[in-house]
Amino acid sequence: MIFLKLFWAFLQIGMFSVGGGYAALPLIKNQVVIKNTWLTAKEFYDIVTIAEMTPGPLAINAATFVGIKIAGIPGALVASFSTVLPSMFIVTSLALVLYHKRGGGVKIMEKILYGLRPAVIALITSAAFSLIEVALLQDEELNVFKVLAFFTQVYLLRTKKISPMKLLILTGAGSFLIYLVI
Amino acid sequence: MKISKWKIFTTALKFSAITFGGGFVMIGMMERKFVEELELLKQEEMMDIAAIAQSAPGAVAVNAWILLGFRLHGFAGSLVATLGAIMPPLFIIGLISMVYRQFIESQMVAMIMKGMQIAVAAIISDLVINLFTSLAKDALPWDFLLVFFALLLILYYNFPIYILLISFAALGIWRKK
Repeated sequence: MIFLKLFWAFLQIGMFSVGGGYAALPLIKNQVVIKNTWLTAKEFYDIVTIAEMTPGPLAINAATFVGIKIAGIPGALVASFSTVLPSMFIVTSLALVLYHKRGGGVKIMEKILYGLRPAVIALITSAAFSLIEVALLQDEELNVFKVLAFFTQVYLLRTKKISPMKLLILTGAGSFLIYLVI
Repeated sequence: MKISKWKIFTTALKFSAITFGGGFVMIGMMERKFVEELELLKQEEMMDIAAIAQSAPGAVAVNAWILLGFRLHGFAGSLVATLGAIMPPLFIIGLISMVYRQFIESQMVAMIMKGMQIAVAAIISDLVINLFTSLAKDALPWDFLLVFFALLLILYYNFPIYILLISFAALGIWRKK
């Protein structure tokens, strides 16, 4: 049965995709292109492109896309929920230990989180580097206008305390206007 | 100060509808909203959420919402946060899947995306500046060294992130008495 197959495939994707984003790519490909022939390789890379261009995690985007293609909207719902199901169980259990101090693992968990802090700061910093690179350095030459826009936005966020939400909407709208003019 | 479940849900919904660029951009949005603006969380707690979200299986942004929802409103909070986090991508991809060829090839979409990439870079840079400012304020020189060491491993040696996380976790158990 198709729903069961979708459920099982995306449950595994949700369960074993550790590290997020591109780390999950081969796993998703294995499930939806190789094991189940739901998508062609080309369609799969199209989804990766779409996922880059739209909000939302790669795995959820892939689940929705495959689900709709295979079994319509119910298929999309089944696939997406099976993707987050393992997270919900595992992360909620960890939250129980940390916030409700259930189980004997609290002390050790606090120590682990203390140890992970510098690593997480480093990971976020490296993510920032690659996002800056994508935003500013993708063209052959450095675009002065983009660099200026970037620094203005950091300035607005830090001193004018503009909300990130507003910033995203304004930049999207601004880019749309530039598209219309050009 | 307390926050309602409805507010958690709508915030997750709004943020997920507009945040792309990966889970850490979502962490940046959350830090702004819940640590700085609403003062419901300490920055350290936000970092703990980021650490667990990154280490546990699944998407970082969804994991972060599950944790944040739980921290603010228990089981019900994590449930509404998860719903809010996954509904926008479901809806957006659902719509796009019907016209996805045109979407990928659209010049307009490409232009809007290029612009928003700059905002995404600015948002995560703001988070990085915040993190290093508080590091400078209350961390020991050791913490600084560890951050730079980890950064060096990630950037220049392509060090596997899993081994990095496991070794830093072990280091934490040893360092904190």
